[in-house]
Amino acid sequence: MGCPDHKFVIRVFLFGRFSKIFEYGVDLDMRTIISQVFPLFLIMIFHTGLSCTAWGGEPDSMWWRVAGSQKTRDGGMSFDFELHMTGGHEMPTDVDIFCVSSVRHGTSQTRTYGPPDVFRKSVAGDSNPLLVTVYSGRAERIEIRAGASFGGRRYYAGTVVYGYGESGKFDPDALRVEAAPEWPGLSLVAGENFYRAQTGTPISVKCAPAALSVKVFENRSSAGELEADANGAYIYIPPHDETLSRSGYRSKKDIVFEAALPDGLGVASFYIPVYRAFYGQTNIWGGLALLLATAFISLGFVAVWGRRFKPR
Amino acid sequence: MTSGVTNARNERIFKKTSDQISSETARVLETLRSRADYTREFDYFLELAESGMTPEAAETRTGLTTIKLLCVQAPLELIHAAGFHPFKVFCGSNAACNLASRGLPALACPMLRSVIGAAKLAQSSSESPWVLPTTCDWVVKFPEMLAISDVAGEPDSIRVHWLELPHLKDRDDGQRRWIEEIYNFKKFLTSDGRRIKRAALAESVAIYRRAWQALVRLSDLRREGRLSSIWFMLMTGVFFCDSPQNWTTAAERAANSQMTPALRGAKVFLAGSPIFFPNFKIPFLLEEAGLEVVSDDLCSSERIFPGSVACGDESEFGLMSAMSQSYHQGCVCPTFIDNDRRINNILGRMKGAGFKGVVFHVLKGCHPYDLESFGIETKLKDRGLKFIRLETDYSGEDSRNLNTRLEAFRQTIRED
Amino acid sequence: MKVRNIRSVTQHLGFLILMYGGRFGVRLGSALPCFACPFVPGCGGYCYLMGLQGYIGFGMGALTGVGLMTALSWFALFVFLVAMLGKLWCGWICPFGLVQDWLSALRGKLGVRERQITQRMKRRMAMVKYGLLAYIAILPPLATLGFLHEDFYLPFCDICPGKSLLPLFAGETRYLALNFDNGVSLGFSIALLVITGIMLVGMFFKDRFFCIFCPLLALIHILKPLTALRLFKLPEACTGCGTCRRVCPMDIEDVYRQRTSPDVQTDECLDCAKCAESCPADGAIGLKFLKFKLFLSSRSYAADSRKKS
Repeated sequence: MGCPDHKFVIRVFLFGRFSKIFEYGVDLDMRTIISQVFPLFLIMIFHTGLSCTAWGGEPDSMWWRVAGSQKTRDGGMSFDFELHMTGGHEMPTDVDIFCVSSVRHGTSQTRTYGPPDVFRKSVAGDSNPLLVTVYSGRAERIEIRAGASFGGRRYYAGTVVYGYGESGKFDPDALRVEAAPEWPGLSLVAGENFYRAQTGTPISVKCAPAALSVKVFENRSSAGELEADANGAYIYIPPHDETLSRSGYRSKKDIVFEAALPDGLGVASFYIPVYRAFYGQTNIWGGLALLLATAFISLGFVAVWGRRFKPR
Repeated sequence: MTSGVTNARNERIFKKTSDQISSETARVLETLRSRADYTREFDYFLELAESGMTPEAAETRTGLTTIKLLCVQAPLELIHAAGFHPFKVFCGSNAACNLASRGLPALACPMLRSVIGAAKLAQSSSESPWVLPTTCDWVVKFPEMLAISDVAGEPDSIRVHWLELPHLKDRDDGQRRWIEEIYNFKKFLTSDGRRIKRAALAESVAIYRRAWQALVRLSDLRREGRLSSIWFMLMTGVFFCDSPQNWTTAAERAANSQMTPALRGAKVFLAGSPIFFPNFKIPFLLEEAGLEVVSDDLCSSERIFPGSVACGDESEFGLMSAMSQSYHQGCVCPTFIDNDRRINNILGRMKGAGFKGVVFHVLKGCHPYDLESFGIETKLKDRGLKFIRLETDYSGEDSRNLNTRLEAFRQTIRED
Repeated sequence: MKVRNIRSVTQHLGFLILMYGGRFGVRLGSALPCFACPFVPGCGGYCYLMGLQGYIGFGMGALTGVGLMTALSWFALFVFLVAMLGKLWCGWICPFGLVQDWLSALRGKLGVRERQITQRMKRRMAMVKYGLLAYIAILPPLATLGFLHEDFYLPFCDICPGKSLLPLFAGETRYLALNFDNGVSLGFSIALLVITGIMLVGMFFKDRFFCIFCPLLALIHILKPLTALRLFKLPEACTGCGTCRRVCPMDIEDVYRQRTSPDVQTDECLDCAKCAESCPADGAIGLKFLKFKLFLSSRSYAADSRKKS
């Protein structure tokens, strides 16, 4: 998204929203109008077409998306999860959904309150996407899993969020089961910023059992196929995204890993939201140079101004 | 009259005066040694007093050239750091005072007269300079008084470095001028090419700080009634006769020893004009009258040097400005115009020590103290404290009269 | 034990706990009235200014919800902590204060002169901290309501030299870098580095230079009527020697000048009690908790507590 190079671009960092006005401004150059407006038209046309065709042509898939989170009046917080089915499917009944919560304590993750797992089942008439709300009453790691069969195949979807409710209560609507089934699928490998994945920082997932292939999607468009490293981990570094970077710290994009499981086990997906890089695009040498330059100027100021003979 | 006759007469007078001074000193020393509260730890101070309290004697003892001072505003630390020995010139001898009297105004400060008399006797060979802060009129006119008394030729022939003292110490511009004065003083001290390094300055500050710590310990002992005021005054009186380190060691030793005071009287605070050895008339009279001085604000005793050169900035400038402020703002000399907080020093020292009264000593001719005594009297009486002003000189003629007044004063304290 | 030794111990303990406490499970919450920087990895508690910006900002959207309750409870804790310890947080605990004291000590070791700032100039500079409080109060809500870019949600942290310098003690250097994430982050990183450069030099040449501008100090001072811990003076015991003014890291004149009232707790005072420690007048300056006198100046103490050579 470059700017026309013959234009003088003013970047006003204070008012990020208005900066675009300054940045792109109004240019009466016909060449620019054609080069900017025409592609826009094309994109609009294609986009409407794509939105119709893409869903239909896309292979089947089931994946989670974290739609948002709110604080509740009692001091807890709730997460809205959406379970998406692609391939034009209706939301099937009997989708098994488990919510596995573990409270982080010190450096070791230990499951605490039991029964630990919260279980839901979809019912007839559920929409696609299926909305699931999970309540968190304490600092905990919430893993949500879904398993469903449709179109003759088995699908698994998973994601992880970190809750920090402060009410100390449990989800009142939750059903409890003894333990969640150990489904095959993808899991996140702890790494830098893994609780808040950012562009430019590796995201690492593992598959059990070993996957036949792992694909990655960014906002539902394919971002390629991943190769396993020596440890069997699939590492994806979401590239910096200028649109994301320009917007606020809460803007994110959806990353979904999708693994083809062996032995006809089906397809497993893992969702993780990726935020804009936070100190992801830095220049330490430039920073130090600026710091030193300011310090030297200040030093000069002190040397000249501070020499004045002045008792208290 | 021929000059030969005059010389012979002068010699006779000098001899007589010299004998008188010796006997004054010997008498006081003997009295001190025979006191019940004498301990061996006081010997060091007695010996210093005995062996001549002159700049020359101090030069011999310390091996350093002295800088002769009057008053307490020249920073001792700076002089010490420059490799000189600061010596506050004083004399409490009545005989010396009489020797100098001829030709001087009748009401001239007895202390300065005594100093001039002693200088006349010694026919001082010391070329060391005088450093004089412009405190009271007598000090300002001191070089002229020396000239009038034939101690020096012309006033100009005396090597004097003046420290022009801003008499408004609470004002920023006054403080600024004083710090400039101190920097000029530093220039004067280093005019022969010597240098004052920061480390030396810091060390001198530390040396005098230690001396001050010892002084505070002694003062606390006096407040607790474990050290009598006479000894305290002797100790502070000889402070300049030796190096501050030696004095501190001896003072610490004395403070650590077991002391039992001979006399326990009604506790009083002594304020006013300074008292110098061997003129211990007032302290002796107070003791006789059953009054025990447990604190004072004399510039010859507790205020002999400010000591509290505390600063947050250990750089050269920091030390210099801390020094200058301590010797200026920290000083409660009555020659300052804005000296209203002096009363706080008296009240503060009296607090919790069971004081009942203040004895205010005014040397005849010491106008600043004389004038300030009235204001202090009012303020003290407003607080229900007893006050007595003793106006006296170096002669012992009024002793009986003073004694009667002091005894009456003690009665009023007791009645309370 | 001398007051200055106790102070040194609490400052260093404060530094260790607030900077590294999180690594040992210490979490003291988000309402600490000192620069316990949340940007230090493994810190033991959070500076209240961060919470304040956050709650002022996010709280706007949830005024009726629990956001407000949480904000109020943290504020209540902050008020309680200030009411209990007053500005001991500044002079005795604040890790950034200790870093400034280290720089001053270094300057002392090198024999470099402390630069003076005239009282007039200092009064003007001191107004900046109230300006910063207003900045903290205004910008985050504007960001939440969409008038400003979202990255304005912590506008003070983004220019606070504590953020650039304190994380260095935990090996975190990223805040010394130019941040090209977007225009706002670049602007803030430039501002932060310029301020850090000026502050570093200022803090080296002048004791507690940053404290002149510290909005937390201003906030604590606003709560002065509630504080139990106070510096006081008995003017009738003061001899006017000026030691208090000389040893004061903030060059406060009011303690020296005060001739009538016992209240010398000015907005710049850090309650470090250096003035009380070095005051050679008996009972002139002291530190009290409610009516209990914790420390009272005395000549003997002043003489004893001076550093030995």
